[in-house]
Amino acid sequence: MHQGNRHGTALVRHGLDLAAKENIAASVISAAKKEVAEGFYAKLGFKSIGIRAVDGEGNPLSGIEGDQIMFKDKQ
Amino acid sequence: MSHNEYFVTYQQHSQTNQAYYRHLVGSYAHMDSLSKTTEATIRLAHADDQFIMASIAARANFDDDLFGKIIHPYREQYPEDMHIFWLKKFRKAWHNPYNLFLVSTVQHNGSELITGMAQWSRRGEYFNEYQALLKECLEPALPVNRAADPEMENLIERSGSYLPDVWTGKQQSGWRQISYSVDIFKAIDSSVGV
Repeated sequence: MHQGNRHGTALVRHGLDLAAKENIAASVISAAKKEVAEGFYAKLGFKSIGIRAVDGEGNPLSGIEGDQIMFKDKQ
Repeated sequence: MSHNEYFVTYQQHSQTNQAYYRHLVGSYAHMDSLSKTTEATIRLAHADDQFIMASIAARANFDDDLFGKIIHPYREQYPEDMHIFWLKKFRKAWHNPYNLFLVSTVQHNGSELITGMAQWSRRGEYFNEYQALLKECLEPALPVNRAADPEMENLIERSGSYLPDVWTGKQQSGWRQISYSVDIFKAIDSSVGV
């Protein structure tokens, strides 16, 4: 994430605000590479749960980078 | 309207939209600095925005390993077809009112320009009820996506059953970001889930 992150951040924040209003969790499966995903989403309060959407024996997405599952828990 | 008539209409509409999209990108290509100074306005997406949203997602993911190289190996030959992948997803998801489509916009020379999109999904019992109803819906009628490998086009859906069951218990109800792309300002990042 570099230029344009203000717009991207605004789009993500909107969803986070909705989750906060309901006091429920927000989550994302990020297609971006690990360091990019963790850098961008971590700043917004998401934490990686250490499991990727490409994990699991026989998963047709096996071998693909990224796909971190990240959560921002309810406050 | 017959299928043939539909596709002729789609092609005309598509060409107009592509021209509009190229105009947007062209008018912004030299304006990267604007992104540093202009705050985005976030609004709900209209159905008319679907094409631009899909085009932004296609451009943002053009060289992505999964969405570009694996799912769309013929994208160099048919670059203007790649948006059909997202257009199909958006049209299907549009029917579930627990999907929320947002666009980020800026005002420039009196016009609104869309700079990015996000799909947030309010997961929970009601979302699932709508999804169950939608299983009977026909696939959106769209032209063949020639940029895609037909065997890879539904790769994400096929992987869905392998998703770890982490959305249970207190996490069962929540907002999930399904799709997210910001492109015009070269902020290439995206995410797509199921």
